Amino acid sequence: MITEFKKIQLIGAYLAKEYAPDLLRLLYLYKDISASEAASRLSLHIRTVQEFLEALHAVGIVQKEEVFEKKRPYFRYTLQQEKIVCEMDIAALADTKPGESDNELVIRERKNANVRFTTARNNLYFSSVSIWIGEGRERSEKKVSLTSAQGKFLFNLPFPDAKFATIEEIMQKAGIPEEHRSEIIDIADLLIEHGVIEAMKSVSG
Amino acid sequence: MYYTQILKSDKSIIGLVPAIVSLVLFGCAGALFGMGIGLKVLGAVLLIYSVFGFIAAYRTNNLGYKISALYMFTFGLYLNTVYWNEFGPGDKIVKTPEARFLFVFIILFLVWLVYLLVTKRIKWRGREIMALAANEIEPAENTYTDRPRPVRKLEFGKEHLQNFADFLKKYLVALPFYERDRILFLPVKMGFEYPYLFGSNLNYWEKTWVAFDYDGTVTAHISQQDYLDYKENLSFDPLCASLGELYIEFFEKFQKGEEVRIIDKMNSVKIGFFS
Repeated sequence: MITEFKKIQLIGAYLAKEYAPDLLRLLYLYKDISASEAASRLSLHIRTVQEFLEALHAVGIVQKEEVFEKKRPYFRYTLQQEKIVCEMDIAALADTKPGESDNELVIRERKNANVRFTTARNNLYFSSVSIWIGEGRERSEKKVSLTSAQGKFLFNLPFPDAKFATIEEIMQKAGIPEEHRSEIIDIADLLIEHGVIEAMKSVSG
Repeated sequence: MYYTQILKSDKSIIGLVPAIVSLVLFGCAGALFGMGIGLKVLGAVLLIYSVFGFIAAYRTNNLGYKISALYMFTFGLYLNTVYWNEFGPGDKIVKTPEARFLFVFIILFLVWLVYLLVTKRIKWRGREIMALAANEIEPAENTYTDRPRPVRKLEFGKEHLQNFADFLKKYLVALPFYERDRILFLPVKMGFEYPYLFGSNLNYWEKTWVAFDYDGTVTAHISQQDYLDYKENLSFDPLCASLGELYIEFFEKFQKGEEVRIIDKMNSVKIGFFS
């Protein structure tokens, strides 16, 4: 079973290729096969087939063996498993699982933060936040569209000279339901990383 | 009582532009085509100005704008009913019976206008608002942010809020902008009222405002231009909160029928008629 996200990503990308079923069929029918043989059989470029087989080898679906029958050594590939099973835990992708926020952290807007908030018309929240990244000619704008919960959260973020507040306190003030906590933490982390939000550990802890 | 020196002195001449334009046109027309034509041009300019005056009066329901528009209108008509006696004996300006009739109204409206000016009934109170908001706010560096600040939540009826908006615009304390879910009150500084009154594409949410949501939420925003109009950089969070609280205080006084106290508070800030 493939459980590692990178491997699932890799196998997914190659299985999406048009020629994938044909190559897998060959691997199933042949005891072992080289990239050159498979390429000529399916009228594909050898490089294309090589990359596909190497990807299957990287995730452990095929085994490869170096042989020296011809002038130069080459690899022959053998199918190791007849079924491909993947299992992915999406929650593992999130640094912070829902409900697991850092409650000791207090935050507010950083002084002179290079940022522009865009207010949603007729609503009391932000629709996007634009962050300036880099210096001089390398400077670029990163615009992040916000969910309404994130927009309300940032709308209620303490000002640069205001008292720090916990994420919990800001969410309460903004009237954001608990179910949005993980997306709030995600945007807070992003803005802390880009120096828009100033964060520190709460003294009261 | 209040520190009016907290604001930079008003050196803007934007408010004088209409007067300067009319005098320049009058002078040019008089020099090129004679004084008679000059007077007619001045009269035409005043009639055009009176149209803007009536628009302002319609938008604000302010007595001063009504009288000002009527004054310009009658003066414009008057200048178009008199004749310039260039070479003949007697007065240079020959008044027709209609002109004599209009002249009475000109004097009446002028006296009325001067009274309204002296009593600050025709004065936009933006500078007073900003001075009051900054009262007792400490200086602090690098605290400005372009974000609006939620102030607090109130309980009120939509109708009360609309009546309050009518009051504020009538006394030029703020110009309301109506949105689907809220009313924004924009304090307008004297001399800067033209884009607010006549601009068709005013980005009013980029200006200084206090918004009252129909659900009771009050939010304040101070534009960078207004923030920089203070002599010092003030601590921004309490400044925004103070601006919001000021309008909340006005609203509460209005609900108690103490409108006169709002005007008294405005008048306690010693700022000239034209600032």
